[in-house]
Amino acid sequence: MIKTNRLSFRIIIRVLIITTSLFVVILLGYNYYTSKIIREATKENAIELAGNLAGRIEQILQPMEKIPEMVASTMELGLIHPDSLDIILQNILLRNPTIYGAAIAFEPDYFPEKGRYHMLYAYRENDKVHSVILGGDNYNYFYMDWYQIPAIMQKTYWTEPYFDEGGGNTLMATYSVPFFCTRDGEKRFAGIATVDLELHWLTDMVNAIRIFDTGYAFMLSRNGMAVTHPDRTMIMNKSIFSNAEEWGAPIMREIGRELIRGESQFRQYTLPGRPKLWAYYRNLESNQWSIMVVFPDREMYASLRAMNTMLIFFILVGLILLSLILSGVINRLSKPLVQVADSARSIAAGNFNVKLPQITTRDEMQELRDAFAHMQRELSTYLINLKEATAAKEKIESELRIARDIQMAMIPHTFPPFPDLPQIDLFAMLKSAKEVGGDLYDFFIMDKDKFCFAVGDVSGKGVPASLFMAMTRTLLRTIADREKSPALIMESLNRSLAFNNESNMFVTFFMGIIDLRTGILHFSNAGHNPPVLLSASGEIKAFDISKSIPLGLFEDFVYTESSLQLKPGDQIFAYTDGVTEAENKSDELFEEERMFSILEQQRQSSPRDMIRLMSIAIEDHVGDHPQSDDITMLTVAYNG
Amino acid sequence: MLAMKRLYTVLFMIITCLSQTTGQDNRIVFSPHWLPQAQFAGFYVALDQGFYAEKGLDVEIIHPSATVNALTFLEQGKADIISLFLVTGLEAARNGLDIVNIAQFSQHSAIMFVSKKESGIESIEDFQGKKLGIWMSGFQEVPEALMAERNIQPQWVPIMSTVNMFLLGGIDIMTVMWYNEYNQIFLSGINHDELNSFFLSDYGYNIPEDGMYTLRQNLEERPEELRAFAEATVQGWAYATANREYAVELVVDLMRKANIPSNKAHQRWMLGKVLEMQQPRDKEVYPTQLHPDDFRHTISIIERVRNTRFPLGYDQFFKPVIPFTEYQPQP
Amino acid sequence: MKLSKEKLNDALVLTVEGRLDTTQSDAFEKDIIQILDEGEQKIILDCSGLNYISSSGLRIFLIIQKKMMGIGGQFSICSLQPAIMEVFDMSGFSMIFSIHPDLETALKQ
Repeated sequence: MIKTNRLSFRIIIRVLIITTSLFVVILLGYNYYTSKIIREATKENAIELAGNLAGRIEQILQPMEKIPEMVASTMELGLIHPDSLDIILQNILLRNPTIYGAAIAFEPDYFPEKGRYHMLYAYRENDKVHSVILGGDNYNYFYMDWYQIPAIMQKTYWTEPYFDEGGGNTLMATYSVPFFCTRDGEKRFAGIATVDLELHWLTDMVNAIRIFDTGYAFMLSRNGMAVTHPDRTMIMNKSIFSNAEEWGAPIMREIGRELIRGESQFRQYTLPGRPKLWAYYRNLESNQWSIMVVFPDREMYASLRAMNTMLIFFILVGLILLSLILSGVINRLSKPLVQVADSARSIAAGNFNVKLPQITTRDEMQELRDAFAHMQRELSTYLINLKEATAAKEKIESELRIARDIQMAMIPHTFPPFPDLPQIDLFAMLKSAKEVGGDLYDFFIMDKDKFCFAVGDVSGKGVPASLFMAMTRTLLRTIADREKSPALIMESLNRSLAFNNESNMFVTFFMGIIDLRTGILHFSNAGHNPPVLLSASGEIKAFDISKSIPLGLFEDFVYTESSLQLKPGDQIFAYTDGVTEAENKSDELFEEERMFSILEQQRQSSPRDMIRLMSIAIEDHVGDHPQSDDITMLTVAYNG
Repeated sequence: MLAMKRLYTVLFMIITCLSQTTGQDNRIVFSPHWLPQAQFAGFYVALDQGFYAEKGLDVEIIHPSATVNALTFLEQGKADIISLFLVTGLEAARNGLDIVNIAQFSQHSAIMFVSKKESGIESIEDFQGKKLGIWMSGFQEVPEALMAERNIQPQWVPIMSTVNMFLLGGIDIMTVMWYNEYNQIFLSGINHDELNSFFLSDYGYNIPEDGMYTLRQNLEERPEELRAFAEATVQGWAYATANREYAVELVVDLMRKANIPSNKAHQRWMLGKVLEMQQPRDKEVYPTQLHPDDFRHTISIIERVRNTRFPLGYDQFFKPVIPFTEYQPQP
Repeated sequence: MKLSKEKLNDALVLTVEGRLDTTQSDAFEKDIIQILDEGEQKIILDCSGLNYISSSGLRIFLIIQKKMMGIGGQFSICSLQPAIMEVFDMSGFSMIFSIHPDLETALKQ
C-alpha cells in the first residue's frame, strides 16, 4: 500500500503534476504545429495528385479535340468530297484507339439530294469499325445537345457525359466542333464534326487515386454530375447538388457552385452525421469538368495520432521511471530524517544519550542533524539543571513547611484557650500569603488575672518577615514576664527589635491587657490598624489611639498607652491590613467599610463565628486571586 | 450516339411484343407521356402494390422516348391508355384523333418560364426578341398563346431534352416544368434566387395538365376495365401520397433499371410538386374531374392560337370512367 | 510601578507612580539604593502618582530616611494621595517623615 502521507509520495505527486502539465503543453504545441505541417503537406500532395491526374486526362483529351477540329477545318476548306466522309471517319477510328466514334452531321437540307437529315457516323463494335448514315424523324439530331448547343453557340462543346447503352454501360462524352461554309458569299453554319470519347478508363484512372486509407478522388461534370466515383451507382445519377439535398448538406452545394465557377480550393467540411472531411478540387481546362479529392480528417492526422500515442506511451513510461527514481532518491535523502525522528522519539522517551545519525553531506540535512544534536545537548543540560532546581526547590519547600509548622506552633491555636476563665472568650486566625508570614497574634494570661493579647504585622512577607515575627513573638513573651504595662512592654520590645536592625524591618503592633477583675483594658499601639470595639450597647468603632510608629525603627521611641473600661458583652476585633486590603482580580480592596458592615451584622456572634464569617466574606471577595498579604484576625469577647 | 439508336430499337421491340398481347379483355397497356419519373408515381405504385391486379387487370407500363411520343402508341394501338397534357389531348382531338379524356389528375399548370437574373429579364415583356427554349414534345401551345396574347415575339428555340443549353447561356429563357426542369436547373448548381420565375398560372393560363386518355372506341368496348384501371390508379396516387419515400424509391429503382439518370433528391421534389398539382385548391372540382371551365378555357386558347374551332363539346371530350357520384374521397 | 528622577535646583526629585506592593518593592529597593549610593544631599519623593503602598514599600521609605539621616542629608515626601496619607497616619510614619502637600513646598524646604 502506498503511504500517501510520506514525503516522497507528496514530492513525487507534485513533480508528476508539474511534469505532466509540461508534457501536456508540449504535446499540445507539438500537435498544433505538426497538424499545420501535415495539413500543408497533405494540401501539397492533394494538389499534386489532382494536378497530375488533370494533366494525364488533358493529355488524352487535348489531342482528341484536334481531330474534329481538323475535320471541321477540312470541311470548311471543301477539301473532302461528301461521299468519302465515311472512309475518313473510319480511318480516324482506326488510327485513334481511344476514340469510340466520330461523326459529321449537316444542317437540314444541306445536301438537297440527301434529304433533310444527313449525318455520317463511324463507331466501334466487336473490335471492328463500322459506319452508318443516321438522321430521321426518329433520330432528330438537330435538337440533341451535341448538335444544337455548338450550333447555336457557334463554338466547340464537350457534352455532358452520357451512358452508351449498347457498349456495355460505357460512359461517353462527345466533343463537337461546328463548321461553316460560304454559300452565295455568306458564311453559314453548315454542321458539326464530333468525336465520342469512351470514359471507362477515366473511372479507372481516377479511382486508382488513393489518399491515406479511404481517401479517394472523383470527377464531376460541368453540371456537378458524378462522372467517376468509387461508388459506381453515383455515376451519372447523382450530382454534388442532388447529394447536397439528399444528405441535407448545404456545404456540398456551396462546393459545387465553386466548382462550376472554376474555383480551386483545399478545404475542410463536414457532412451531417459523418466525421470531418478534407477536400481539394480543381477544374479540367478542356471541358470544365472537375476533379475532387476527398479524405477523412481522421486519416490525415493518423500518423500524428500514432506518433502521439507513442509519445504518450514513452512519456508515461518516463514518468513511471521518474517516480521510481525520485522515490529512491528521496528515500535515500530523507533517511537521516527518519533516523533523526527515531532519535527524537528516543530522546522523548528519556534516552538523552541516543546516538544521532552521522551526516556529512554539508546540506540542510546536516544542519538539521547539528541543530538536533545541539538541542539534545541543551535538553540534557536543561534537564539536569531542572532536576537540581527541582530538588533545591523541594528542599526549600520542605524547609518552608517546617518553618511554617514552627511558626504556627509559636502562636496559640487552641480554642477556647481558657475554658476555666469564663470572663474571656476568644478566637483568632492567621492565614499567610506565603508558606511563612509576617503576621502574628498572641495571647496569654499574666499574673493570674491579667489577659494579654497582641496583633502584629511585620513589614514584607515570607521568610524575612517570618523571622522578624518569630523574634517579636519571642521577645513579647520574654518582656511580658518582666514588664506589666503595655507601653513599657512596647518600648522594651521596640528597643530590642531596633537594635542592629540593619534591614530596616519593622512591625506594626497592637497589644492590650485586660484586668479580668475590673474589666479595665490597657492598650498600646505601634502603627497598627486600630482594633474595633464592638460594645455590648451596640456601638462599633475603631479604638481611638494616639499616633506612634511601628516597632523596630527607632530604639528610643516612647510609646504611650491608653485604657478603657470594658463592659460585659464588649468584643474587641483586632486585625492586620491583610483584611482590609485583600484584593480581588480587579485590584479592588476589601475595604474597611465592608469589614465594618460585617462586624455590624455579626456583633452578637461568638468570636469564632465572627471570624469565620469574616473569612468567608474575604474569600468571596478575593475569589481565585492569589492572596496578596497575610491575613490575621483576633476577636476577644469580654463576658465580665 | 449509337446508343440512342439502339435504345429506340430496343423500345420498338418491347412495344411490338406488348402490342401482340393487347386486345385480351384484362390486359391493359399504359404509356405515360414521358420516361419513368415521379410524375407518374401513381401508376407505378398501383402496379407495384398490386392495385391493378386486385381489379383483375394485367397491366403493362411502356414508355415513349424523346422522339416517339405516347400519342403514337395510342394511335398505333400499342397502348390502351396513355397520359397526356390536356393541351396535347385537345390538339390530338382537334387534329382528328378520336381521343377521349377519361380522368384528369392534374388540376393546375406547372409550366413556367425561367431566366437567369443576370440576363436582366425581369418580366415577360422583356422576352421580346430573346431566345426562348421550348420543349418539342407538344405543349408549346400554351406558352405560345400567352406570348401571342401579349404580342411578344421571342425567338423560339425548340429543345429536346436537357437544360444544358439554358445553363450554358445558349438561350435566355427556358420553358420548364416546376416539378421537373426547374429543379434540374437547381440541381445543376443555380440557386432559386438566381432565377426569375414566371408561372403561366399567374398570367391567366392555369391550365390542367396530366390526364388519362384512350380512344373512344376503347372506351365503348371496355368501359369496365378502363374504370378499374382509373380507380386503381387513384388508389396508387393515394398510396404514393401516404408513402412518399417508398414511391420515390420505387421510381428511382425503375429509372435505374431503364438506365435513366436518377436521384432521390430530384424525384422527391417532383413527387411533391405533382401531388400539389393534383390538389383542387381554389377550383371546385372533384378528383379526376376535368372542370368544364378549364375545358372551355383551354379550347379558347387553342382556337386562338390555331385560329380554328374546336370540334368537340365538353361532354364529347371528357368521358369520366369514375362517376363523381360514386367517388370515394381518399384519406 | 514606575520610578523617574529629575534634578530640580539642588534637589533630586524622584517620582514614583503606580502601586508599591510586596512584589514590586524589591525592584524599587534596588533602584533606590543605586540612587542613594550617588550621595545626593537632598531627595524629594513625589508621590502624586502613587496609588498603593504596602508595608514593604514603607520599609524602603524608611531605608531612604535612615540613609539620608546617616549622611546628614535631607529627605522629604510630597503630594501623598489621601489614602496613602491615611496609611502614613495610621502607622505613625507621618511622624517620622518630612511630608509636604506639594513639590513646590518640598523644594522650598
